[in-house]
Amino acid sequence: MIEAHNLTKAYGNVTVLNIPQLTIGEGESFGLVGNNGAGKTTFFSLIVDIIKAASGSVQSRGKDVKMSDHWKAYTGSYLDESFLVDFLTPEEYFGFIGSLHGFTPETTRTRLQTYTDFFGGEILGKKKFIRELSRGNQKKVGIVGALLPEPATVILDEPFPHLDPSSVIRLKRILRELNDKGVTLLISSHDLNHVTEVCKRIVVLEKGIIINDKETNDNTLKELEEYFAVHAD
Amino acid sequence: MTLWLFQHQWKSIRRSSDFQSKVAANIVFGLLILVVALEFLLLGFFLDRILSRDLPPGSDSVDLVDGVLIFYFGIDFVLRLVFQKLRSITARQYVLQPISRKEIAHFVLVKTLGTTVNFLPLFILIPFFFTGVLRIHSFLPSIAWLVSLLSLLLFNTYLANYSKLRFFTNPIKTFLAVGVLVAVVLLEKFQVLSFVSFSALLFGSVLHHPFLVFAPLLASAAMYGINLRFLIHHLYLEDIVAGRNAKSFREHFPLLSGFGEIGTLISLDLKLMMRNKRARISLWMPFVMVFYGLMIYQTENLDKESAFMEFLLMFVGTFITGFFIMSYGLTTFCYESRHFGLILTNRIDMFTYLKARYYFMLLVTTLVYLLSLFYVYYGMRVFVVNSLMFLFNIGCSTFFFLYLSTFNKSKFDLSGSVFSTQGKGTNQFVAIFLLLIVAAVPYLAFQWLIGGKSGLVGLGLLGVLGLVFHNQILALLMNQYGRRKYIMSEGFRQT
Repeated sequence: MIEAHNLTKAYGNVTVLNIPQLTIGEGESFGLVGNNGAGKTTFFSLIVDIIKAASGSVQSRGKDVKMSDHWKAYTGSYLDESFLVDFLTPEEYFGFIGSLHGFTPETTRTRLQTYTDFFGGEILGKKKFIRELSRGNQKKVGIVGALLPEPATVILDEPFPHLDPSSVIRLKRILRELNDKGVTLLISSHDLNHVTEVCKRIVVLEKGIIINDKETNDNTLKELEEYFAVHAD
Repeated sequence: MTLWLFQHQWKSIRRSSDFQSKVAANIVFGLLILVVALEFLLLGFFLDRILSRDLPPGSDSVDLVDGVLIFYFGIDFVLRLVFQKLRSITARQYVLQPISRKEIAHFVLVKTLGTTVNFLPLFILIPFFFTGVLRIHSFLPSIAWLVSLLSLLLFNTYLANYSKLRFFTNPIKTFLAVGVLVAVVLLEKFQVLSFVSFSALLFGSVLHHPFLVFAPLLASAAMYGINLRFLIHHLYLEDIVAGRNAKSFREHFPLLSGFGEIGTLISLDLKLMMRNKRARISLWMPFVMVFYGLMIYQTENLDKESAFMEFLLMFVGTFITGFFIMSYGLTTFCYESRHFGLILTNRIDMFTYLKARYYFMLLVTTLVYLLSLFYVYYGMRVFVVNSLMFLFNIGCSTFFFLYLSTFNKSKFDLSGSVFSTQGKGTNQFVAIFLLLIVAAVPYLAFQWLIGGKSGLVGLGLLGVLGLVFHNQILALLMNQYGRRKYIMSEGFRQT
């Protein structure tokens, strides 16, 4: 599904990411953890081709993401606020994304109904621009914007912060259900609890280098906590 | 404590990402101000002599000045309503800190004083005070006069500030204020009411009864107090940040939705421009600029056959229809800097994306051209030149500005001031100058090879060629866009 070869990114002389080889298979749920500056956002940004790699490439379904736009049809992503259009209302925003995928307004509305619980009655029909919403509600809009076209690959950078506790639980449920249906998930998180609950594979980045890559099992959370505790001392 | 509030201000300027371009812009702006200040200074020194040349019997130069002061302060107030900035936004990050509200309010109000409208008049006032007022009147009344004028400047500053905070929250009311001012001038002109004699009486009385100086002094102090009280009670985040909300915008463009993806993208940009203060100018200015020709055509002999006249007509013609291209075309990507991530990762075909930009310019420019057809009143020559320049604009200027816009890579603050240069990497004036050079090359080539009117016709023909082959040219532009998109994307991500 997604492969990185000799992928590096540098700012000036500082290499912030160096991944010689990484493959994420179809239907996998891939969790990326690491401290600030570990390169999580950089890696995701390279996958969705919004920054340029110093060397190497990312391939999605066998084609380089730089060379072709094919991945945009089946990849839904939300990395930060630049994925929102803050002067639109949430309805207009979803309508815009829907129309890019050729949905009729009806289809968009029907698909949004799936997320009624997740929205918690605070997003739709409020006559507010996205820029007037709280951080948490903005994040919900962004995440649903990424999920709306029912993509085969979903990429979310830090989806849990700012969400209220019930929404976090709902989001985890939504993501697990998607993965059960065969959707490939790529999620980064600071919260080891959440990410180990959702993802079956956890990769630890440190200063741009993969230092751990394993299947999630009953001990994973404990191991990760121990690993980061060592770094805190 | 207040001192470090100002230190933060300086740091925010010094450390902003476009500090260098700001410095350059400020140097140019500063030089301009300096020239104006010098002229004002000279005017101030010689004002007494100029006015004393032919005085009505029984009056002096100070009386004349007193007579117009009421207009000065009226115009000053209206200008402030339009241009004076509300500084409360600068207090945003301090509201949450353990600083007393009173202190922040003082800080905001002192910052409000820092505007050229407050400093420039001093360059006339102070020299005139020494050369004129002191010459005619004795010391104490003169000082009283000066102090009352300075207090009135302060009074106006804070009255405008307060009015903007409370009443003049939308432009229509500001237009009303302008209307009142125009009415006053008309009443004076048709001698219904004499504001001049009223003004002379008012300001003259300070010279005769110096103790009256306490009236404006107290008034300005009171106005400061009113502002202070209001700010102390309203320095809450929701008051400061509140902009226009979604309730006031319900626009829909059903016509555009018939045009598929291009229509969707154009309607997104239309909404962007309607809902963001700084971008709105791109939408209404082109329709104001249509009338730019009126200023030139009336004063010139339009049938004169000279190279200069031809250049002038071409220049005017380019501007009448080309303003939208020059404004929107140049900022098209950086207007989208805040949602560029979405643009890059969503299912938007990059060719369609550029094409939407081109069609949008084509649409508005054509509308403006249709509106400009009334210039046929000034004769066939104007009509022909304008039409040829319209063709040149839609077939050449469009691509030229789209090309230049890929070099803008700083994040654009859509909610900022309309006059701010923040985020406009390529200066509009530089861009227009470049366009003139680009247009001059084929123009001169045609003139040199064929002569006659061929230069002008040639530009029009180039425009037609551009229009016919727009798909091919856009494909070339797409390569340029593909090269620059990472640089733009990384630039837009820096805050």
